Amino acid sequence: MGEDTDIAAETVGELLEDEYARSILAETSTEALSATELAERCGASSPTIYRRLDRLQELDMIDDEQAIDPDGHHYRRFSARLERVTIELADGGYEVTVDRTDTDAVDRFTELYEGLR
Amino acid sequence: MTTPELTVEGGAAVTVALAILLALGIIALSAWIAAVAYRGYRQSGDRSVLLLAVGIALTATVPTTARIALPTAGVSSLPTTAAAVAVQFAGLVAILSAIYGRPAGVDARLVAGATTGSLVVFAAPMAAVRATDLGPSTAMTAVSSVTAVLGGFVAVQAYRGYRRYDRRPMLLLAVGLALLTVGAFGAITAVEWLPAVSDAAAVGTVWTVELLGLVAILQSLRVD
Repeated sequence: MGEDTDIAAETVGELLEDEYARSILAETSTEALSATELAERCGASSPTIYRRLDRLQELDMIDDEQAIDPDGHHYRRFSARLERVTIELADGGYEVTVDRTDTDAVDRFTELYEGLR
Repeated sequence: MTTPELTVEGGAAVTVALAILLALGIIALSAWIAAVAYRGYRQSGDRSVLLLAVGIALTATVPTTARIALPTAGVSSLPTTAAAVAVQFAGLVAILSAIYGRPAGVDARLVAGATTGSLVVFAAPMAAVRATDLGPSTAMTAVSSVTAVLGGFVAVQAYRGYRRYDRRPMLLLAVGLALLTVGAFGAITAVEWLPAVSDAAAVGTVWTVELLGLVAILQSLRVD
């Protein structure tokens, strides 16, 4: 688990070239943050942050969890799953391997079941 | 809903009444669980949650209902058990892929794999009985052991979720899954191997274990 090779080298390059995507990954690698907090820390507008978050989630480099603020409203908090990207040149092509942090099955089971209830 | 016509051999009127109550209880609980699970999915809209909901429906509600509906329709006990176990197998695979898979969720390969596995689980015991001198009882025990192992594993994961997060629903889910898989296997094995157990008592034991499992799962979906 935790790695795959079905991402193209240019996709990774394109993603990490983006300043905001890089900041989001860096900020969320130390603690889980909301989109508002990310907008503040990265100095970007909310729509910009959300667009990057969507893209990062598509590539499964970021995880989200539901949280409840003191007023009882639900909001999402994001944390980085990306650990390492390896790009290997072999046999006339690039092979990209993405290592992600494992959320283990027990975490996921509990989280999903809470979602179902 | 049509009223099922239950014929339990070797049972007195009281036993038949009890069996009908058990059967209706199981059908009602199954429908209730399916409805609650579906509502849960509608609220979250997450595909992994959908996979989990489908898994729980296939593991808990469909096999228990099948164990009632198929014999009522005149299917004998080995194909009934094989069908229930096959559906349960698909359900457990769905739960496992929901909790181990990536959020991308359901793909064709997964569905194909689960379907093929289920068909094998369904066909193997019947083929084994026809081709060898294996008795139907042994075949039933053997096929049930498949989901007992898989279900036991999923139940342990749920129990670990309870220990780690102190979430009571996960404990109830673990108990429910264990009863429906390991418990049903235990009941089937016990009544097949114990001498002098009437058909009615055998069916009643399996249904009772399953009813308790369904109660636990329904509770797990409802408690806070």
